[in-house]
Amino acid sequence: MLKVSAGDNIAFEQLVLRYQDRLVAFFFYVIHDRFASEDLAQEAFLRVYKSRERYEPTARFSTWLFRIAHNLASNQKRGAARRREVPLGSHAGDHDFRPPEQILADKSALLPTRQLDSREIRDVVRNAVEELTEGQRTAVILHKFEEMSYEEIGKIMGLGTVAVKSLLSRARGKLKEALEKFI
Amino acid sequence: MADQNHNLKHDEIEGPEDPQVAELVSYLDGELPESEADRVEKLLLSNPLLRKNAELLDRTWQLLNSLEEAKASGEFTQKTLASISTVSGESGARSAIHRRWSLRTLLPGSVIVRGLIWSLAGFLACSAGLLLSRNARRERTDPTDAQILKGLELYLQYPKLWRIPDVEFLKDVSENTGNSPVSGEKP
Repeated sequence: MLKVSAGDNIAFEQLVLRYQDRLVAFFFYVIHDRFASEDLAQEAFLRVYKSRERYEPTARFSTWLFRIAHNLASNQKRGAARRREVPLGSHAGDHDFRPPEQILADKSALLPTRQLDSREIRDVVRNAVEELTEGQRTAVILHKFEEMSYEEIGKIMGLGTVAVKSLLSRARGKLKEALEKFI
Repeated sequence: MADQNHNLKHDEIEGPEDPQVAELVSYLDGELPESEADRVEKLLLSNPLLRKNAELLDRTWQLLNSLEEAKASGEFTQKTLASISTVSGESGARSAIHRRWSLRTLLPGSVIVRGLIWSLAGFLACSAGLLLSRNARRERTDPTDAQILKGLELYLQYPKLWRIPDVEFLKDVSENTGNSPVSGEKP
């Protein structure tokens, strides 16, 4: 990033290549829309580029990048809620989403004679994650998939370590409650 | 509890937190200090219910691995770099990014070497500019102008000549000036 700050365009290209998959994945886990995820990831890189001269290496670059991503995702969520483009319980992505109760009802007649297949498990897990609050979901994604510590998550979300611990323990309690019957 | 939840948004606070779950989660996440982690491990060994709870927390956490992964599409890098070069407004940025080169990379060496290269380039550019402007000035001179300049001396005498009595007189004048542009012409 220091090379990027000095105006090295090749370094910026390398930065995009290194982080693009992680960033797209983060947005996809949060908003479940592949195209919007790419747009937001592109916007995040654009913001990095615009503020490259103001970058100070006081924290890890990934922390800075994901803080930008977190803000973008939050703004996108708020905007979508205001416009009511994405009604609660439905999804703009290319998946067949159903509420957890519906999935449970569909499967209860078949259990335990039949195991859920991987796609069904994925749907159940995704719905369980969707049921988390926005903050809990972000903390879970950063911790689970970015393997970030409570401290790093706190820096990204603008929270103290204790608050992150609280978010994650509540989130994992909810996930356990929603998913233990499928184990 | 309020202290624990500081900085949390209002909608993130959902009633009392289970301290046992909070401790187990911190233990599973490796966020407990060593002494506290040892204490939790001892509790797990002695308490089957707590152990089962920890196992469920861990296994439901592992279920998140089944979530669909997303990666950037093949065109993502190109699109992103193109949008950035557009926004940056630098005319050379696009080619610099896409062709993987820049002026900085083309000019090797230290600042002094780069300075010398730039000075030489400036000198060459100035010389080329001077040569081009001289050529352009030459080309701009009209042949009609040259003709006029050639007969300038005769034209200067025009006030005296406009009442020329005859052709012989005109010939005399022409011989005196060394030019004969109007020989055979009537005034």
